Amino acid sequence: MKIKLFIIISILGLYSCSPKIQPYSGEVNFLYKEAQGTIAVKSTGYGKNQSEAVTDSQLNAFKVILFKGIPGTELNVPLIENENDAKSKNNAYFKKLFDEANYKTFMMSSTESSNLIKVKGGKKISVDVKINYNSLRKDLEQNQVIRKFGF
Amino acid sequence: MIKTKQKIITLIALLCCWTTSAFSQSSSTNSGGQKLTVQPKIMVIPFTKQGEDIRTILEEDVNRRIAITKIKEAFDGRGFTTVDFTAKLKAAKDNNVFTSDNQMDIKTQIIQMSGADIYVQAEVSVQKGESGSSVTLILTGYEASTGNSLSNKVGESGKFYTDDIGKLASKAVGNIAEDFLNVMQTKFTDIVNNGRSVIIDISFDAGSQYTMASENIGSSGLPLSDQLEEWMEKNSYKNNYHIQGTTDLKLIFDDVRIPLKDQATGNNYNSNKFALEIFKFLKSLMLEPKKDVKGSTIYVTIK
Repeated sequence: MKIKLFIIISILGLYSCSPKIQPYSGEVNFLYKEAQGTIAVKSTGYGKNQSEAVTDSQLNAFKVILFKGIPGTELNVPLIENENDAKSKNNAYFKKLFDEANYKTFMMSSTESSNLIKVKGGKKISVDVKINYNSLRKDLEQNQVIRKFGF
Repeated sequence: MIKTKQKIITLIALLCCWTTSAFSQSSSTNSGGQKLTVQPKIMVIPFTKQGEDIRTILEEDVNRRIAITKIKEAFDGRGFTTVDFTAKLKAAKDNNVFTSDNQMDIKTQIIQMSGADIYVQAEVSVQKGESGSSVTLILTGYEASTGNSLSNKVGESGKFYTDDIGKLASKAVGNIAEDFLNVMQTKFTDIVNNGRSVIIDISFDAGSQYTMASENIGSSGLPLSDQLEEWMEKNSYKNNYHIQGTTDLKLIFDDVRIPLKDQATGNNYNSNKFALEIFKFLKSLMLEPKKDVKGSTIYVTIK
């Protein structure tokens, strides 16, 4: 009985240690392009309160540009080709980028474009985010998350 | 007697030291083991119709020059240096490289002379109407030796009431340049992961006693073409090769993948090194091969 309990606890413990990819919203739409190397998108975020929802929408905008791409724009192809591979190899970089809010250094502006709307399980908000993706790409290259142009 | 033996040993040791130092890297070029990947050479060229003189087209048409410069700017923006087409054109003119009036030949001559691995062709077309002027730009990227397409995009400037066609050309490039480079980069990733493509053309000298069907070569008793395919199967990168066709006198592999880096040493690997491997294999079959390498095409002739 004790052994069974030990095995179950061990399995649960190991499962909690395994890296998991947090799902993020794909509600990110192209708004406009002002200057070369920048892009403005409307992004929707969710959270318990306004601050959390705004942060979530900013993070979503970055994650979609990094890992998914936005069809019909210059970033049709995502900046990072393989999300899982890049995340497992550059854990520290992404921890700094997302958890320590380093992404804000590539954010040129962030404007709330809707009211805070109550939804099931929390609140949602739309934010217009302008991103300097040229400088973000250079940062990814310098930190060897992606290859420079060429081989 | 013992003294003589010692002298001989010292002499051999000194000789060994001398031969090792002769093949070691010079201290003035030693990078301390750092190995950089050799990058492809890219050249941006204008599209020319049959009968158009490529030599004067750029000098006369400022809009094409603007389009080409904007494309080069996009490459520069990504930290990549391209081969300058106008400079090469000038050098070719100075060196009297052009021997024919055929436009396609001149273009090919410049591509070959420049040593470019990839060329990007820009076609600029201007539309003028009552509702305004617009520029359409067709960008196509090819691998010079294999003709493999790397990226293709069509850019539109949109219609404006303006006579500044250069500005419209610049706008058309700006709309697609980034996407064009991104697609090209995904093809580069494929090359990094799966190897670069080379063409191998194996044929016989006019007086050769052998054909591809000869079974008296080597010890396996197999026809030469099958022995060559077996070798290619083992030595192409990730077992990736394609045969265009075999005849009695010729065997063409139109797409053989070779790695960018030597898998054993980590040094840069190229078509010349792969040609040497084929050469060694044919030598091991007691044949007398001759090899020529032109860009990514390997020509092997068996005597």
